[in-house]
Amino acid sequence: MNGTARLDFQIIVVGGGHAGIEACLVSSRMGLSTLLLSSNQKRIGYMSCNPSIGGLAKGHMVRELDVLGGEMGKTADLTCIQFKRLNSTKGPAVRGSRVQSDKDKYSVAMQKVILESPNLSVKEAEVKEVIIKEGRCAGVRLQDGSEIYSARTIITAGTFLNGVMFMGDQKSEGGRHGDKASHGLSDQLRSFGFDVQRLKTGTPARLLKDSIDWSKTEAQWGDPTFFPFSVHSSSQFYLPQIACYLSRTSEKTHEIIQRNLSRSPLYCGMIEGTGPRYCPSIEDKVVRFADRSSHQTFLEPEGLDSNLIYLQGISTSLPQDVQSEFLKTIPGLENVQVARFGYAVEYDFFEPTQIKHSLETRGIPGLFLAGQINGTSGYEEAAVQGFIAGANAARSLLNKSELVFGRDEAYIGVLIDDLVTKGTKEPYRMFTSRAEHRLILREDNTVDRLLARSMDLGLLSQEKFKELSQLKDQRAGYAEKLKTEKLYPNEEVQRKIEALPSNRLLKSVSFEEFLRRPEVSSSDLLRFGFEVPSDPRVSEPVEIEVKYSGYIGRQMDLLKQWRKNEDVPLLGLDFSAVRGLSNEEKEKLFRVQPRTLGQASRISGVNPSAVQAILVYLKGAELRKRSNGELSAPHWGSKD
Amino acid sequence: MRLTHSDDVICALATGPGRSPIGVVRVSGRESEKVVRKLADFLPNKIESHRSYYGLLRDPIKGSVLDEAMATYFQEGRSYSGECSFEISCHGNPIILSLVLKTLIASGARLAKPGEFTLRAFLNGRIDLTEAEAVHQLIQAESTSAVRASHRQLEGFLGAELKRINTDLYGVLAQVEAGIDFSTEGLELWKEGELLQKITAIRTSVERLLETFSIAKKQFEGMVIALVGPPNVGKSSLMNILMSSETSIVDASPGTTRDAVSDTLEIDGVKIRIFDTAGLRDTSDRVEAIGIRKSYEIMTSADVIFGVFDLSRPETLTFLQDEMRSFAKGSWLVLGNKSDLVVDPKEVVNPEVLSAKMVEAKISLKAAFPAQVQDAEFISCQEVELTQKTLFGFLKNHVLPNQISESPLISNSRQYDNLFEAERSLARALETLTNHAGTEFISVDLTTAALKIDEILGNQVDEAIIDRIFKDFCLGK
Repeated sequence: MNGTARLDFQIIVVGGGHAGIEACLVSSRMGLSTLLLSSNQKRIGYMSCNPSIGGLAKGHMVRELDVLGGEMGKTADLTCIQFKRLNSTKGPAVRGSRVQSDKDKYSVAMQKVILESPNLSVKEAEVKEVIIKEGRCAGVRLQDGSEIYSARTIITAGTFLNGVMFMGDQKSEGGRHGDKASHGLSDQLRSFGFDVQRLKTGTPARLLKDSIDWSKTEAQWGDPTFFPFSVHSSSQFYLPQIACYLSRTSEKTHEIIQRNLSRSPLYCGMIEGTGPRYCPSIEDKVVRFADRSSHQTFLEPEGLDSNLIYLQGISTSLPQDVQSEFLKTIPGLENVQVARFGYAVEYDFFEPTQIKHSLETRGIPGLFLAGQINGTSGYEEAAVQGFIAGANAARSLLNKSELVFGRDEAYIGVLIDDLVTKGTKEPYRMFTSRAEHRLILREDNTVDRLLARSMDLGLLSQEKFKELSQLKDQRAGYAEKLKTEKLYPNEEVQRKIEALPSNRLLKSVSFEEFLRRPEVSSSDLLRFGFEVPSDPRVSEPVEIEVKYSGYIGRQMDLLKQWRKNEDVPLLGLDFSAVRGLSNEEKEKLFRVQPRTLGQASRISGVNPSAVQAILVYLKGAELRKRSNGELSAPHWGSKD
Repeated sequence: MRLTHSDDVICALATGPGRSPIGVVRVSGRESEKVVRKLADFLPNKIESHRSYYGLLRDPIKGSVLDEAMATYFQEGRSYSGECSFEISCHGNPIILSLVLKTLIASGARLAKPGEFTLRAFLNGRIDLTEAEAVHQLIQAESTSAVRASHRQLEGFLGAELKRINTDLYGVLAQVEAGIDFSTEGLELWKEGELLQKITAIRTSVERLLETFSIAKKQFEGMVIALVGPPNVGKSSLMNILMSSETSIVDASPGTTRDAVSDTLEIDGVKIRIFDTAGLRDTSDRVEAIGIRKSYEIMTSADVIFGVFDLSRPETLTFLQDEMRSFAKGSWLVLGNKSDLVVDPKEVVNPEVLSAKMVEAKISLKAAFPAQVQDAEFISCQEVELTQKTLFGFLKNHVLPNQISESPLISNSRQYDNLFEAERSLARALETLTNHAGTEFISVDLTTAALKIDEILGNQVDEAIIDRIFKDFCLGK
């Protein structure tokens, strides 16, 4: 409206964690002048908790992010000191890659990328609040009172908003060890009517490597073969690979914890926020699973040169003296020296049903929220949100359509749709079981799923597009060849089949049908003169599709049924006019403002009958429109 | 906006789900001809609308005969739903009908949702806007109010049983999903044999519930009384008294009542269907022989049999006793009719005289048929009110209490359809498990089963599995 409005940057990103990094990189790469504000520049890209990237469902997201042009996968590959493909003995859809990174090298590499990026400035400063002009977010006001103006602002404040750390009865303000909490922002947004709530998370102690008796632990090595996350990475490890070490708590450990429960802030009522159920503190485990005499823990080196060991599985907020006492009861830790004790942190988050699929807030146009402040947990969940928020902030300035992924397209789509539709009551982590289309959302077909979307985004180089398109075409070519070429049962063929061993053919079959036999693999086809692509990136996904086509087909059927509701747009519908909805259902629908009937059906508290009622209402409206030749107000709602 | 649903071929039982002379399966959808042809290879290459075709329905894979049937074809635009449709009349045996439905589903159809044929009729412009208003009500009744009405029942035995089944199912799913999403955490999980056993047990529970649909049908759609006895003992007159109307043909010559005539009345809110059957007399008359066979069928499905004899002709009692002996089952009320002919009319209204004779008769009857005879009464069709009182009294004391079942029952087609699909999914999960495919594949079918059961309960399934994992397992690396 005001032509002379001040504009310092087109986009401001507040926070340099995993969400903030992806947000500022995507917007600057799309050509928009971007400012990254961080309260501690040296901690940009810091891994605050465990030293791992990826894992089940999370690994899927890292790969998706990478094909779209995100940064996390590349840096994780580059700093990988242990690689594992989890569930390698299970089916292809639920295999997930996990990288353990050298923490220092990871943040150094990320900072280098950011500093070298064109269109991107970094400033060390603390944000006090957002500037609101004419109902829109117009930038940020810093703690020192100075103002920076922007067209779009993305907040990725992690656990820093009103963050409080707990260790025993010690309570201190801060979002992370060594970093101050951020005050003002969540109070300001609350005063605008945002629903702000508390969550809790925790971290275990960091131990000194030299003080551990490794002979009492069991070494755990990674896989020898590397499947890098990124389409840009080499399939050779960049760094030497190290082992992690397994140990277990004992009954003595549990006894000490039990005895000191009254000194845990979790159990004496100091902490109100809800913690993640999938990552309980050791005191939670001991209380809730009292019958178990032991819990496993992994001792994970934080880096090649680091003297710090991360104690996976033993997050706690017990007082220091209790931590010291119980740690010594774990085999290998009898003489352990602690670099930093475990603690819990409680922080503000914004109930995520207040944001749209673009991650822009409903209340304040121009303001985007991403990462842990939306109630998620995990580096990967944060990173993909940062990317989506950054891309959408940029695209809205470039007059491009919103970037939204379907639940059947990517885990990224599942994550964001879950958040904005259902909200969350605990730190939200991605699981493969959250994806109803799990069988088709695999790591191996990430390129096939997302290449077209990536082309539209345009963040990958022309060469990379060409390379990936070729890969996709080769897969399609191999799949086609399997369908069309046939195996004829002559004596020689039958003998070879029996040698596999497998059953003789009764009639000629396509190679696809033959490959569907459980005991036959792609490489076996070579013996029958069938040319199999030597690149496993080509043959593997195709083989999976062939072998599991029955199940995939069934899931596709479910998906087809489900897509019908997904194709029914609801935006702008006046739910009060729909007959047959309960007041509770109406209220929920008003709050979430579902984009489609499918999304409406996923809102908790909206019953299947409500979905039918809306559908019937829409049909009626459509018929009336057709017969009247104009859009008239639906009259079913008022007739009686 | 695109019309939803219209791509699917839907099928459903159009007649009641219990045993009946015929059962009609309806199939609708653009591709329904393709689906039906898979089972009905007797259809000529070109079929005409509104014409019926007779032949054997076969399983397209095994080739086995499902039933002999009449398939009536309705072309697009000339059917109830407005789409290409078929009505397939089979024998009204629930096992046959469910087999036909299962085979249709295996051939590409799916079970219709409640009100879906009508919804399609509406969407395809077969009914206009005023009618649509009614359709709206109907769909609402089938969903909102039916769901809410059945909630009352769901709070009771059925709800408890479904919740128990789903608790078990979520227990299995938690095992399966925890094994996938938390495979690195050293959890102690069930082995394949244990999974197999648990899923089989769940499937058995579901099958048992499915079978209750016919019991529930009685509870919700009425119970059945068969009036039987040798000819000319006054069954039809008795029926007329019961109905207080002129339903049956009453004639003095034996064997007049050849077909089973039925009517319904309501006592204490329970619907009762009474069949006046042909007698059980041996006969050479072919038409009557069919009637007699039908009598046996009705007696088999009846909740109670009123065995009628003529007090003035002792041979009718002997006859009835012979038949009771050869039928050898059923729950009988033996009625000595025409008491006015053997007792002084004044005595009819004298309970003492009557009851002395009755006690004697009851004792001897019960001694002869301890498992069959519930009670015996003397009545007279001349005394309409007294007879009605006696019979209704018997029903209230002996029959109706049994109809208020203490066990969980599937009571409407919405519940039945969902449970039916849950059973299919469980069967597929077991198949996958025995083929040693990965657990993530079992999960597809188990989740579908849980979803279907939750749909009956009106729950949402999204977070349920994850909640269960956190409840059952100690997690957190």
